[in-house]
Amino acid sequence: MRIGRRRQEQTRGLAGSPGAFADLYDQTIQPFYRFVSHRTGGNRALTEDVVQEAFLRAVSHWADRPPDHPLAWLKTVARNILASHYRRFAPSSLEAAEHDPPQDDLREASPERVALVQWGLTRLRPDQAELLEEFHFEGKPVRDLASAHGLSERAVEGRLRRARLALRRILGPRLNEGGKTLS
Amino acid sequence: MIDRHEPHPHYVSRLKWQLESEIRRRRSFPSEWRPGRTGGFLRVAALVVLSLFLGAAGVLAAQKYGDSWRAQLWRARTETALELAKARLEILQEETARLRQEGASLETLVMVEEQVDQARFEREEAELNLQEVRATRTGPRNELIAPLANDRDFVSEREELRVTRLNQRRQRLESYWAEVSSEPGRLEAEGPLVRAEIQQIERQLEALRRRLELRQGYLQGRFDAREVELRERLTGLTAEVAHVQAQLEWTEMQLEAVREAVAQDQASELDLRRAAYDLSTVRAQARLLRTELELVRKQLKE
Repeated sequence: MRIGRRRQEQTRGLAGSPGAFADLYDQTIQPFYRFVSHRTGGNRALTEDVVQEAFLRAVSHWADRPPDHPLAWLKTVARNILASHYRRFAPSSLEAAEHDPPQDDLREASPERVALVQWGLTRLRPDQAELLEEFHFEGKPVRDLASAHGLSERAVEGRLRRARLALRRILGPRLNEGGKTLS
Repeated sequence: MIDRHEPHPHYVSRLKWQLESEIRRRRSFPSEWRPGRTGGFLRVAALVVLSLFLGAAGVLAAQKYGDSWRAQLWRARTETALELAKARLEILQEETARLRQEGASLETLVMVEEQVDQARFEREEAELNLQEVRATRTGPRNELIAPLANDRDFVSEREELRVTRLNQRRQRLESYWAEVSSEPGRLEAEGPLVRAEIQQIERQLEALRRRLELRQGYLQGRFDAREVELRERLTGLTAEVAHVQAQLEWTEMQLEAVREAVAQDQASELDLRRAAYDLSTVRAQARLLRTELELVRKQLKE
């Protein structure tokens, strides 16, 4: 009976229920905002725009039925919005020494540096971009990546190395000292 | 201090309110609920028109500086509106000074001074809108359930500006009338018009007063968003019913007059049918409004 009611609720979707949407919003806004903010280098204006756009799309798409994993759905939408944004974005050159500290974690990098990396990621092969993103923006260790992708740790390290090289080739002309963007 | 990767609480509450409003809006207009090609096309068309209006350069500049392009568009639009309002006010002030020097009639001066006041009001409103856009990074909102922006209640501030403007208009009309009503023939010719205008201003002031009360009730937590919407609708419907009732009485009188004219061979049967049709249309409108009024009242009681 309870399952039946839940199914009914789901089938009805969120169209008639701002309260249900508010619950989902409360549960997802904080982690989702952080997820986007890490990918914009903390550019608040851009983050707020992307978060708003993703939730507005959710209002439209969740009308029939909310997804099983709302946060994952929002993240996918945000990735697409960001990719679309950074594809158009024309980054100016960066002083490599100033903007490219040798660190793995990009979550605390400057917005300029993140923007440049994101621009480069939109020009990489999707599988390479995904791997770099998981490693540098989500901070997932090699062990977790290996387990998630069904690879050995050594294979993941090799793929990361090749992806970084590819990214560096793309970004090279835009780094004043031809320096590195990802360590 | 908020971590740079954490959302500002004000942003979280404002976005939540915006999304809930969007759901309510879609629920009120179910046909718009599903996103369709037409909707997308219209949104794109609107954006294209807006971009053309503001100039692609502004959009590109906004992207270059990494700022929110939507916020930039709003700011550019409200800044432009403010500049236009300032320019209009200056022109009208110069025009008034010139007319005064040339010894223009009282009617002319009253008319241009009224325009100056209106232009001043529009400038003040544009300034307020710009302050709101700067505070919220989105367009001005005038819904009664809009949230505060940086602890400022722009909705009430705008309504109070309108109250001031309407009081100013009423005062000007009254002093004008005091000056000219003693002139022979004016009382009959202009009296009803001036009185009707003053009455209209009073109705508008009453509506604004109710809006301000609802707004305060919402901010103080006495009404929730649904109740505010219903009460606002109730106020609007009550005013519409009163208006249609007056129209109904007038249409009944018209029908009676046409009937007498037909009896005296001064109007045709077709004129009579037309007048009867007009009356039935207004009656249907009145019935519809009363039904809607009853529905809203019932919803409020639920």
